Amino acid sequence: MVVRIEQQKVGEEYWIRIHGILDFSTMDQLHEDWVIPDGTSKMVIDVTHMEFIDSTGIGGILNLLYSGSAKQLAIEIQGLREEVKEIFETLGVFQIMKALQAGGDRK
Amino acid sequence: MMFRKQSPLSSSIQSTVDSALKREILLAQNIQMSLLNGEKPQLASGEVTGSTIPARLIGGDYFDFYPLPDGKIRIVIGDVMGKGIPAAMLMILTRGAFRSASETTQSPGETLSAMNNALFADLRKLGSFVTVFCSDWDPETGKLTYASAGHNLPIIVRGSRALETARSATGVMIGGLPKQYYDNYEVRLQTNDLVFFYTDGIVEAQNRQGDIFRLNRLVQLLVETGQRDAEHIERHVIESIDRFTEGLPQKDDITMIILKVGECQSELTGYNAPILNA
Repeated sequence: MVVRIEQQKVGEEYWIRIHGILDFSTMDQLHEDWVIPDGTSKMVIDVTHMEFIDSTGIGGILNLLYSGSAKQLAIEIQGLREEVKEIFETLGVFQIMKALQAGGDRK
Repeated sequence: MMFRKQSPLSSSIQSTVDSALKREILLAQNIQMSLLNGEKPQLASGEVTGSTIPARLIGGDYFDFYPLPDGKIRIVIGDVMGKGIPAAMLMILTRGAFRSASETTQSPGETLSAMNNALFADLRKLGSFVTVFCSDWDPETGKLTYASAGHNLPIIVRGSRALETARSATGVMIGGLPKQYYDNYEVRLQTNDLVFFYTDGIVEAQNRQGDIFRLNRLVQLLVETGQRDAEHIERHVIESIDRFTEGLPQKDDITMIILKVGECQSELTGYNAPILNA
C-alpha cells in the first residue's frame, strides 16, 4: 500500500497532489520535508488520484489546512470524489476550511 | 561494510524490554476494556448494550453510558483519529472529558461544546481529532435528543424499514475548531424500534478484493434482524463482517451500541421520517 505525494509550485500556487492510499500506514510521507515555499499565496490540495483515506489521512489534510492558514494562504481542495466529499461533510472539514479562511481560528 | 555483532547482554536487555513492553500493553488493554465494559444501564423497559473490537491490542474507539438524574441516559460513541496506543491514550482523555461534561451540562449539544472546549488545545497541539455522537435517551417519553461532532448518525429501524435521521445534524469534529456550538435534534421512538450507533470501522471493513462493507449492507442486515434482541443483533453484525472480510485482519476499530426500545409510557407519533433506501 503506497502513497505518492507530488509537490509543485506554479506561479504563486503551491500544488500538493496525493496519489494512492493516505492512511495510518502511509501518513509519514505527508510529514516528510514539509515546507511551504516562499512567495506562495494559494495552496491547492489535489486528491483526484487518491484511492483511499482514513481518519489519520484526514488528520494529515487538516494539518495542511492549518499550515496554509497560518501563512494566510488561500486554500482549495480539488478532485474530491463523492464518497470522500460526504465524509468531509460529516466531519466538518469544509466548515473548518471556511473558518480558517475567515481567520476564525487565529488566536 | 561493517556489522556489529550483537552481544548476548544487549540481546538479553532487549528481551527484557520487549517483555516489559508487552506486559504494559496487556495491562493497558485490561484498563481500556474494564473502562469500556463498565456497568450497563438498567432500563425499566427495553435494553441498551455496547461493544468494541479494537483492530490492534488496544484502540481509539469509545462508547459510554451516563445515567442522568431525571431518569434519562446519556449515550456517547466516539472515534479517535488513528489507531493503537496513541489513539487509546486520547480515547481515555475523551472519556474523562465526556464524564466531566455530563456532570454539568443539560443536553448532548452542550456536552459536545464542553468536551471541545476541554480538548481543543491538546488535540490541535497533537494534530489529532475525535468524532463524537452524543444523545440523551428518555425511556419514559421515547424521546432521543442528539447532537453530533463529526460523527455518523445512527441507523434507526422501525419494523421493516430504516428511518432517515436529520442529515444536517453534524457539527465539526472535536478538536477541529475552538468554541463550537452543537445543535440538538430529536426523534420520537416507538416500542420495538432499534437504534444502532456505530463507528466507521464497520462500514469501511474491507475484504480481500478491496470491496468495502458499506452502509447499505449494514442497513439491510439491521432491517432483517431489527426485531430480535440486542445480543442477537450484535452477534449477527459481527458474524456478517467476519464473513464479508473472509478473515482478513481488521483495519480499523469496530464499535457499536444497540438500543432496543421497550414500552414507552407516552408514545407520541411526532416523527414521520422518510424511508432510507437500503
